[in-house]
Amino acid sequence: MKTTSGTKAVRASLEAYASRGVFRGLSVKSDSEFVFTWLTERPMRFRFDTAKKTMRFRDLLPNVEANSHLYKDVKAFLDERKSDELPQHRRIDSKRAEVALTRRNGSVSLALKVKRSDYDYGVNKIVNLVHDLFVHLHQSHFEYLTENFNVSQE
Amino acid sequence: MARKTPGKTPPDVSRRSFISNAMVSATAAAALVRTPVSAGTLADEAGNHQIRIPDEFAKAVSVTAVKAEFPMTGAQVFARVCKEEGLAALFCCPGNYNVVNAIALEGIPTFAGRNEGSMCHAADAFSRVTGEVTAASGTEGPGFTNMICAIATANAARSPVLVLASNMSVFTEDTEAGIQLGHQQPTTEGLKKYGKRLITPGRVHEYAAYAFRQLRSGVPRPVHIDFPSEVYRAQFKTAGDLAYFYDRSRYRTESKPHPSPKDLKAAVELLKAAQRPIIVSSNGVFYARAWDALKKFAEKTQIPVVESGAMKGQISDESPLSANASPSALASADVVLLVGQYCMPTVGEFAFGPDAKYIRIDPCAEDMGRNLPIDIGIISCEKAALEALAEAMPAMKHEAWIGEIGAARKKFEDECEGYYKTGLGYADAVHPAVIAKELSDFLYRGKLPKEQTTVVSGGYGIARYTRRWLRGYRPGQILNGAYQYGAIGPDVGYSVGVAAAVRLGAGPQKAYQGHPVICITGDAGFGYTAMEVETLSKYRLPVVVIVYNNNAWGTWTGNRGNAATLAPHLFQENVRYDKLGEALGAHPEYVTKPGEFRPALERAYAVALKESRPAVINCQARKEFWIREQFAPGFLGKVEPGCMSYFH
Repeated sequence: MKTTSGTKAVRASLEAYASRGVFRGLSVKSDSEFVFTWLTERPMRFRFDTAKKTMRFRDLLPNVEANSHLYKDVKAFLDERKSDELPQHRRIDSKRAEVALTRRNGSVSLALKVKRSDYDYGVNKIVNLVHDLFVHLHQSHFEYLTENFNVSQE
Repeated sequence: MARKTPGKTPPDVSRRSFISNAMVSATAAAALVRTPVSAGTLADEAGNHQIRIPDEFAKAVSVTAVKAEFPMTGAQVFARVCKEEGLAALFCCPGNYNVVNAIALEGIPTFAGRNEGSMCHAADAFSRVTGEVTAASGTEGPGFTNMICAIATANAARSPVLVLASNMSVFTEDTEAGIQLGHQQPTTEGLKKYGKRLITPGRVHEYAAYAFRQLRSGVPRPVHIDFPSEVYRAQFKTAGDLAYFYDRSRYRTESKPHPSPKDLKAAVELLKAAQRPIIVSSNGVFYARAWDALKKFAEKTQIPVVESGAMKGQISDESPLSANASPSALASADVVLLVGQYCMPTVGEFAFGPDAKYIRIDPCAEDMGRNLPIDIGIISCEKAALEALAEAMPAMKHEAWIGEIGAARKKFEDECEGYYKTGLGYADAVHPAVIAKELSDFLYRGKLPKEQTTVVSGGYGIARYTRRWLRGYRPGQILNGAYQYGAIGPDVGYSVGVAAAVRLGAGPQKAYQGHPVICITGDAGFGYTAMEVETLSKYRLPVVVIVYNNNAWGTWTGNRGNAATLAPHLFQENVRYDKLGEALGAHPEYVTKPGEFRPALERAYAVALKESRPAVINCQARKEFWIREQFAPGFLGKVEPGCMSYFH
């Protein structure tokens, strides 16, 4: 794949998190695919589609049933991230990016598409979104984390 | 120096004198026996055998402490150092008689309970709500090994607990002559800051100094000393018989590290530029007694404070700057100032976002940068650093940020209120939200001054509710039971230490001396240390123990799909823990419906207050309350730091 300004920007943003010690063991699989450990022991896979200007945490949440309370709650949580009730610094500006959940083979992926070429904004928002999502899971779906991410049951 | 022959017991040391001496100190120092105790027969006039406190407790009140003078035994030399160093209390069971008796006779409050482990938990708890150094003691062999869980718990909580144990003699080392000989120091490897088997009698004072140097400097953790008989029975005619017999001012210093001007300047610049800074106040603020410095700094700069750690209350939850109950706002913080966060979380364990920058203040350079990446590290005593920051920082305003904290607090409290209303609807058992909310109303919104009652916040599943409602209004008000090590059994043992601290008015408990204490626990946890209700009753320590009884270990839900794996997680249903408490001398209450809890709590508290004795409220719940699909909101998670935190 040809390296673009988009992939350079995304890579630089991710490497900045790694250099600050937020991500551990960042490995670059290709210009568009990255693997690192963050928030739990389970490695995270991040892909960037240059043509679609879309970044994605692939298979972020395993073992999520389509009609489960968990999946509905995660979707509702995502909707809240666009709400005007959230402070601006926590909100996802729908003029600049849009987020979507997809579920395939029981695994949920989280995607963010930047509307302009504001890749720094996109990486920052999707990384913060994943962080907020895991805080929410700790608070509201603790048992899911223990069963799927080896979070201590105690 | 004269020595006694190993194996020969001095005439003043016996199990009988141990018990007497333990009572002497505790009662003389603290006037523990409040209710009149008169001599009597085993049975009353009607022939009933009532629980009664032995007459010796009353007699012990008149015995005064004696400062040991040369000639002294090794045990007395060690005890003298403990007294001069201000050891606040000793918790023990029979055993290690020479050392325990010597400490008790020095006038150090000494409490004896039913299990060395519980007593070591009591010492840990006393430290956690006072900031004082405490000691726990057990006999060689089983008495010592009974303390292992408590030593590990105190180590994880960073508590300054001096663990003492006798350990036969050097003469018999490795022989298995007699009984109970064991290698103690390897057993506590990884569970202590410092440890030593004393083998050279003439160095007993030197090693007492080693112990207190470790306990009173840097980050506290347990110190473990084991005594062979050659040491504690050694005789010293004069100070000249002791090697290294130095005055306290010679063997350690009260000097503390202060922040470097360069680090301070960098921190000030980062904080001034921040839009949403936050302070995390943890153990170090408490042990440095830096709560006033924290308040001054936070109020001048209008920087919110959220707490973590083994105890809570360094910032009053009444303050608009408290972010303890504002979990959803934490991720907005752009600069986090960690003060005395001895047990560091890893990335993701605290709710601060991935873009937050960190300043960490810690007295020990060795731990700086562990787990969580730092932007600025300041090696300093917490109090000195906070005072310097308050001086260096300009007065600031963060109105929007404090507004966000307040909005998050309201959202959280509305959520809790919703849980309570849901819980009230479950009429055939007592839901944990009912206990948590109504306990909170009783403590903070009723007749009691909200800062008055010290709380042992224990339990497992119940704690995930009660933590949401418990608040701290002054330092040392909440002991965070399961902190870091995650032990759920120590709660009643903790309550012995907390009630002793409140009884003695130690450290920040002084203004609340004598008031009843609340202890929250579960049925699983109660099982470990319930016999200490007898200790509470014996010493007339007024603790209201709330037992959340859901007939199961909190872990049962993960095994509910298979009867074979589920059964090990279950108890008999409807066990009467209240009657067990009553049999041990406590006031009993049994609560089976939501509406019964508050009146039972009021009765139990009244007994604790008027009669100065414990109460056990057995709250009958059902294990299915943890299943969200059947009984919303089910088993709750948590967000750290703040009121829900106990991992870090």
